[in-house]
Amino acid sequence: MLYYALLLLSVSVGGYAAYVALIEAPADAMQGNVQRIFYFHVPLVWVSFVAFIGGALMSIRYLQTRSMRTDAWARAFIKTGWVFTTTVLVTGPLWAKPVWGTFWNWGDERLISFFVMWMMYNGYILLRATIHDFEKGARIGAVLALLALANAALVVAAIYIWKTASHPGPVFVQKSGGGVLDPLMRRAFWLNFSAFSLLFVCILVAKFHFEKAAAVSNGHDA
Amino acid sequence: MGMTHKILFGFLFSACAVSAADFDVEALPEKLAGEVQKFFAADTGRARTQIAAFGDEDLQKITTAFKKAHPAAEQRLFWLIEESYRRNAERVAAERIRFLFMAVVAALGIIAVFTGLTYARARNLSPAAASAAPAAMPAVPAGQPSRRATVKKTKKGKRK
Repeated sequence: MLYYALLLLSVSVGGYAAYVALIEAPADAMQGNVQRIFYFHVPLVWVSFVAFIGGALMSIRYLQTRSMRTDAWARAFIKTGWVFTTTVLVTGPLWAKPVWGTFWNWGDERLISFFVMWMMYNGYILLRATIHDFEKGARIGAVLALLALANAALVVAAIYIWKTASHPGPVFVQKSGGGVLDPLMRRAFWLNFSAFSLLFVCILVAKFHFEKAAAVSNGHDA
Repeated sequence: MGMTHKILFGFLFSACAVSAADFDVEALPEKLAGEVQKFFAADTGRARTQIAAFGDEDLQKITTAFKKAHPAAEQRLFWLIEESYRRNAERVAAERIRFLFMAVVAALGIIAVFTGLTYARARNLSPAAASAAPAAMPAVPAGQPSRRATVKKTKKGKRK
């Protein structure tokens, strides 16, 4: 019942946030309306990283305690994060096409490292689905989750390590003076940020209940 | 675009570039004149980034002053250039709105489907339901005889 209430709240906040982002906030002077994708794209990235950090922390906890409950949390975090990452990989190219003139730039280190990270989490999900020994799958999955998090750190650092990256930098701390400056733009951003964070919590809790039940049905005490 | 149009536009742009040299910046308000002078003096890359710094009113004042410096016949050419830019801007804006629409629908669609599936599965596979399911029963080791067989053996043993 609690997570249905949470879902209702996040959908309400999300609806208002979408209205502010698509209607109220002014269009960007250089990019026009396509810049509004940013209000969805950046919060989705944030949620993905929170999910993968959560998944890695739960994996470490699992390796320490061997509790199937923490493994269920790790699976819930990573599977939810994977969906948000997939959404990032859809919205990013749809912004890039009109701005860069191409959907994807294979020469951009941030894009490549993000794609590799997504593939690693694909690997995690496939691994968990194909290894029938639940405990063995949990053990190998925990190690893979930690390796994937190391790659996630590389995604964040990519624009600082390789100066040739064409991906825009952090939106609030650009040295060139760009980024989100208009108060309405900031409002649209933070509203969407809150809405996607809330939605993430809702999905995560529901997903955890499902994963816990899956562990129980496999004969494990979660 | 046909070759005739290309030649015509090429002529228009080169005519503007030549006329820009004759443009009297002093006709503008003092502060704006200084900014325009800097804009003219900057290299191409820097000048392009400076475009956004001009406000709508500033742009209006600059273009009006520029047009006034030219005869009526040349102003018709400016109309054509403006019309060309306007159509191009409309095309680009429409394309960008289309991509924005696709991105929003795709993002919300993916998340909505995943949320729906997760909630439906979580409801159908609650821990209580799972513990009642046959798969949750403790597994019997392969070689162990069933309870019924054990009872029979005991009975036989008693008869002997």
